[in-house]
Amino acid sequence: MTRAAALVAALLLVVPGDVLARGGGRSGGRGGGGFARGGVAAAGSFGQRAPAGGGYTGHGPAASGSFGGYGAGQGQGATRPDAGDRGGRQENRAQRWEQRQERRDETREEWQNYGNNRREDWQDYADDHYDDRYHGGDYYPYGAAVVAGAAAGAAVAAVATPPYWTLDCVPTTVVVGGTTYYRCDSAWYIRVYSGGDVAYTMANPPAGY
Amino acid sequence: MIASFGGVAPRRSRAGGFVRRARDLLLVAVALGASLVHSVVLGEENRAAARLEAMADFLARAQRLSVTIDSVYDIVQDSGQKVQFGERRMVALRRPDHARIDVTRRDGSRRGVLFDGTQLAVFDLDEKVYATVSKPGTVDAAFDYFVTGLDMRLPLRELLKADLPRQLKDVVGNARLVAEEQLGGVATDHVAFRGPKTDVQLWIPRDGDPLPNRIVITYRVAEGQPQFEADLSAWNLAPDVPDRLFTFTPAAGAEQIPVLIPRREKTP
Repeated sequence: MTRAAALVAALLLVVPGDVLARGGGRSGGRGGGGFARGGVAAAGSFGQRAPAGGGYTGHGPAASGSFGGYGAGQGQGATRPDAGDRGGRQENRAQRWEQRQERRDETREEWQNYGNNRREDWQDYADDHYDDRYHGGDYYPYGAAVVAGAAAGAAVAAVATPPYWTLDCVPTTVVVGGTTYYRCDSAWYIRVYSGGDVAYTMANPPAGY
Repeated sequence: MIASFGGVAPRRSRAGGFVRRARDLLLVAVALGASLVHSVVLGEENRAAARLEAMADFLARAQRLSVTIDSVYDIVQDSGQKVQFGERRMVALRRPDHARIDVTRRDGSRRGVLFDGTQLAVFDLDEKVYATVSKPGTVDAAFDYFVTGLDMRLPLRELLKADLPRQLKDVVGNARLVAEEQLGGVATDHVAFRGPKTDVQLWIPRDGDPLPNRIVITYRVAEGQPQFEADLSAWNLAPDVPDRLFTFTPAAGAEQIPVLIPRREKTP
């Protein structure tokens, strides 16, 4: 009995704590790690709700296709946030920002419940712009946007608004110095690359206008 | 009575010895079983890590490669609705300083990025625009700047970088083998690991070059936990890509436009 107990203890001692903690027998099939095959997505059901109308944004964290920052020097996730709906309505931004701020707070609270290690993780995320880039919203101060590339750089010397994916008017166009300007009433726009897509941004009027 | 007791006691003693021996054997069996399960799990952990490391080392050593990436990704709308988009990327890489990626989205729009060792060029054939940014150096540094500096998309950038083994070093330890699976008729190891922000799954062929056939990334702490899924095919480690394809020539009538870079500071 004593020898057997000692043997059991010896054998169990070589099982690392994390393996024991993971526990979870496999429910069939080969492979380790105790992965469950069931879950919401496994149903593959279309669900019950009818799709909503309206334009859809194509910007979000999964668009980045990044492995996610897990090591030193890793990128931040490779995509800018939503940048607003494709209509880019300025008046909705403050409200949405508040909603997202609330969601961020809720998310943070949830994470805090996960314990010290997880909380430290979360704080790390916050430090590396994670919630700026992944939780959507207009956290970038676009008024301070800068421009890369020499061509047309002077044309957007004073960018005061986020980029617009479409213009809410049928603009008149003027080509000055190789740059096409789009005019809606008194506002002038040029095309720029923003977040990997071509967008419109407000610009100073071209020379002579 | 005493005799009776004396007669019973030896029988109880023999029975107790049998029970103890059976219990000992059971405990030993349980211990051996636990040890066996442990060794199997540990072996699979090692195997998953080994598969990941083999893939990373193999990709990092490749001086040339081309691959086709068919990907889909979820975008969680403001309403919470999840919408899927997709695209095909034709990737050609010549280390250390040449790369070209041609993208065709599901809506048919075509775009791409080139790096020739001195400048990054992005173009959009449908919008008839392009942008160039000077960035002399390696393709790794250029693509880092492309993503983190210019805020452009470059899915699976990590796979193309020469420091992939170092990038995976921190997560290899928690890699697990989910199962041996058939994927498109190919026997693969389904490997999964967790990063601090993502859950990553890869399917790596069991035979031949350890080049992934499929990758799924779940952004588990993002709203709606969107996923990026990619099928990788037509791997070629000796592609015949002429120099001119790495040199950017604007399409006729294309307009050069600037790249808008949001500043990184947070709002209050």
